[in-house]
Amino acid sequence: MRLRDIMSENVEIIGADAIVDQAKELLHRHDIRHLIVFEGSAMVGVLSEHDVRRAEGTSFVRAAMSAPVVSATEATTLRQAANLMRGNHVSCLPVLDASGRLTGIVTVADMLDLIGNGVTRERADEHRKAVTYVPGR
Amino acid sequence: MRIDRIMTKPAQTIGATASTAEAEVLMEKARIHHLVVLGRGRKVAGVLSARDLRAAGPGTTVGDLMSSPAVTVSAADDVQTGARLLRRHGVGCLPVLDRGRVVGVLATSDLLALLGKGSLRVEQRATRWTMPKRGPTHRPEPRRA
Repeated sequence: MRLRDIMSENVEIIGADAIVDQAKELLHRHDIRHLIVFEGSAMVGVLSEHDVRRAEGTSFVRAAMSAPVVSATEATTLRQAANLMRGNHVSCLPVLDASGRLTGIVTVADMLDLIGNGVTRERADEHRKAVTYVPGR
Repeated sequence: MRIDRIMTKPAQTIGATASTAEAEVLMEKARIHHLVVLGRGRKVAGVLSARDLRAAGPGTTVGDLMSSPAVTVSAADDVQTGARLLRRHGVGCLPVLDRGRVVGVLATSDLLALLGKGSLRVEQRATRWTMPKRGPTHRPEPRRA
């Protein structure tokens, strides 16, 4: 199984020169725990809920984030991702596509969910869309 | 797979009345981030993480800063149960008990290691699906007279 099968696609980003209070608001609004930090078009760090809690509200995201970023690609396997997280002591991996564009995120919580509950294939929904039942036709 | 096959053992423990400085030394020496806190009768009273220690001041004891009560798991449970507990309670480690005695610790990193070694396969399940208002899960509304 590869990361493209399990990643969350709603990943939120923030600029490195934003302040921590803005990041906190963003985390709260989207009910997430990680933000990917960008400086221009370059991915420069990850800001987690723990980083935010530790930092002062008026400090810059650049000062509070964890850097450098440990990232994976959509084709990275689950096994490789687990080793990346453990080896680098990180709790999330931004996922990039073949052209290096950020397309998703995988966190430790996703991994625990997978181990605990397995993965449910979303094929059923595809079927549901394909076989539309129209009474009387 | 049973938890006692993959847990970190023995568990590093500390008394609830010990000082936070002692806890810090113990964590550094064992290079770990969690300690199991034992209370009266060597029963598990809580878990102290390195993150909890950031709030330490002069005179604080382990009992003041620990997360309590601890979420524990049985040595005979399977790793899936452990993963679900870690996720549901948002904790980094679970003390593993065998007949009320602490025998080890199950941390998130133990589960990642298992996945990384390839010894744990993630179960793939398909959801049952039925057409809308059809199939075994649908109960038709009672007919009105």
